[in-house]
Amino acid sequence: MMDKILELKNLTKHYSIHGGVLRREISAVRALDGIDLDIYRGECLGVVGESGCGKTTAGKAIVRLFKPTGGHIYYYSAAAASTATADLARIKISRIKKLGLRNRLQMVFQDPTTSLDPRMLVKNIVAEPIRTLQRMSGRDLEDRVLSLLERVGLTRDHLLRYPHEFSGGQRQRIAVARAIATDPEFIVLDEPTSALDVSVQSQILNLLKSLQQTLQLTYMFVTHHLLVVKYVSDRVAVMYLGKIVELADTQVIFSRPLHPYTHALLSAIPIPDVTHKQQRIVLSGDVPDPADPPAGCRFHTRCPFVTDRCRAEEPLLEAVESGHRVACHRKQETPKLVAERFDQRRFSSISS
Amino acid sequence: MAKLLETIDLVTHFYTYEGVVQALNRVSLVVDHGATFGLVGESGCGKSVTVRSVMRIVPEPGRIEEGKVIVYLDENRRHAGLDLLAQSEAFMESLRGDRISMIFQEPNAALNPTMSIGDQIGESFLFHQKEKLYASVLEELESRDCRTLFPLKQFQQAVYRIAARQPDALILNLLDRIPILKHWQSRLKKEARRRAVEIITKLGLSNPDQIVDLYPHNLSGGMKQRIVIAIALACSPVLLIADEATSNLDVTIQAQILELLRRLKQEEISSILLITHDLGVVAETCDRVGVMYAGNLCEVADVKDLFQNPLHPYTRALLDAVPKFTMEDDLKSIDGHVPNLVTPPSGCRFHPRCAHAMEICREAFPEMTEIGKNHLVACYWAASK
Repeated sequence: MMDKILELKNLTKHYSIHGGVLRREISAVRALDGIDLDIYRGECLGVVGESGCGKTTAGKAIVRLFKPTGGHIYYYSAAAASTATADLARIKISRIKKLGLRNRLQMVFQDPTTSLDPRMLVKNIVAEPIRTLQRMSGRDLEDRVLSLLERVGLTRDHLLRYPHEFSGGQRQRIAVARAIATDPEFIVLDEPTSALDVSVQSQILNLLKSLQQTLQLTYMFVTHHLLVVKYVSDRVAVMYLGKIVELADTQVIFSRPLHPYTHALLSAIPIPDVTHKQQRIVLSGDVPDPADPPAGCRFHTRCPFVTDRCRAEEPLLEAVESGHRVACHRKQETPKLVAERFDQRRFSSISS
Repeated sequence: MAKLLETIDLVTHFYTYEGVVQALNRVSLVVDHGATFGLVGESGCGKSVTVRSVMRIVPEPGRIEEGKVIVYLDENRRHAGLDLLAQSEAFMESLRGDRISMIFQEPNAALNPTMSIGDQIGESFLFHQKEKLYASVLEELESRDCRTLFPLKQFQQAVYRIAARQPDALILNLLDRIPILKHWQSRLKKEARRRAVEIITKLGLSNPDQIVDLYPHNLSGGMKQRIVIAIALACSPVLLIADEATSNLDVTIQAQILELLRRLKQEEISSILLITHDLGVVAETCDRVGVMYAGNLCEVADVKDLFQNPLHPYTRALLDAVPKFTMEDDLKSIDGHVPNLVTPPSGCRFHPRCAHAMEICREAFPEMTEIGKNHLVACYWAASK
């Protein structure tokens, strides 16, 4: 379990903003501002946060859909032959293909209607990665495609259809089949269920869970839906404005969260249960502009427990106990503060 | 409790190239005064079509085939209902956004990108409450603090006196066409803007004076949704219909909007009809819930009753399919998928996916029956237990 598959070191991605007469770079949107993260083999790491916090950017950087501005992504392959670790952030795209890394790292996108080519047959959509990356063709390829479709719960009848003929859930199944086509060991799932209905969402989540077990996959599950994260993932990283603010096992995050932002996120989820009503921590205001993040702790503009130190000094992501890291100056006192201010019974009832 | 809105056997069809989509199949629901009614279901189940039929804004090629939409707007004459489907389009226009108003899902699509926020909110005052605006402008002109120059003041007073007495006078129409004289309206617009600032302040947005001059692209998603709510609330409606008002927002912003709706319901509006697919939102905000499936209303109950004692098999399956806070075992999912409404299944529309389907379910459509207090279910299996 404690075998690393990916190691992100100070990963940074800035999107530059051009302006002025000469269209020079005048500032940058700091989508990812130095995140450190280890992903272990066989786990499902959930990444949560509001829109614009950089969670999708992190996922896309790992599969190298763009070149990060700075930092390193070390990839430890399972294949014994290639013991040399590759730094995905520095390596050239052509080299990635030559090493066969595209086979091993895959991605499932948010909206299946836009991620599947409307003019390609399902057969060709699923066959495309195999054809380009593994040079398989003919009967072998067709058998492989069919077995993949069966694996995700589709049948032979679906081979010769176009994406528009499917419902949202089935389309997402096709996208999953395409992602597992080249036997990857790591898949970035970028909000795979947020475009789907609840009953279909549960089908896809169960499918992903069973695939993870049978194919020994490692997932990075990017979502804004905390209850989904709780259901699928082993560890959770909470992001805010391009930084990780809290990282811990799922059980720990949901029973003993330490960062005020995590508290607010958890209390903001509407729970489909009428028995325990709890008081909500309603954060005031919006997420600040990532092109001009606030000084000090990035959450201080919305934090209910802000002190002068938070405004001046940026907290580091420090370990509180093994496997639980928090970036907050007042991390020791937050549970007490939250209990005093908001009377959170929900957490105490679960942890007790 | 007194009824506010009642739909009786509402049927809406869409005439598409593939055939007639039977989007609503005899939907009957009741929204009471002072209640928050939640309508839940998966996409394509007819939630939005129901409220659009109520407002009579069903998009082409849809048509309301039969049924009644009765509103009881008058406080004093509670029993005298008004069938909206029998009213003229002009009457509906005066009703929409005034007594009944609606918040749409996508604030980007609901707001006009070329109009400033103040103009968009002011538009509903100018459309629905012109008389009130005339009266208050006249009052202001006739008060002593008014320091407009001598001839201009007299002219404006004269015009507004006519307008307050007879809003559709011919002379006003004439004045609007004469270049300099048409500026008599600027006071009216100023008044509308003042009211827009007032309502933005009430919704808890900071710097309302600046916001009225901004355009939608200057604002964030949560702020835009608040502006849409401000437009809907401008004329203090009796019924607010929120069609997936928080679905596209982040959880922390969603919490803000839900909190706002709850506060507004206590102070301003009498009832909210909330459409959502998120059962969590329903559990936290609604008093009464209706569950829809494939164009049918299958269960209506008080929110506590529905979550603790769901009777319809679809409601049960839906509740089991949602990830919960305290959960150990696997999520259950509903096998199969939502039927095509061009050729809906015979009898109960849920029977192909139902674990308890009986012979009769395939043949006849179950009627809404009351099981328990205020708990209505359309299911043979639940009724037979």
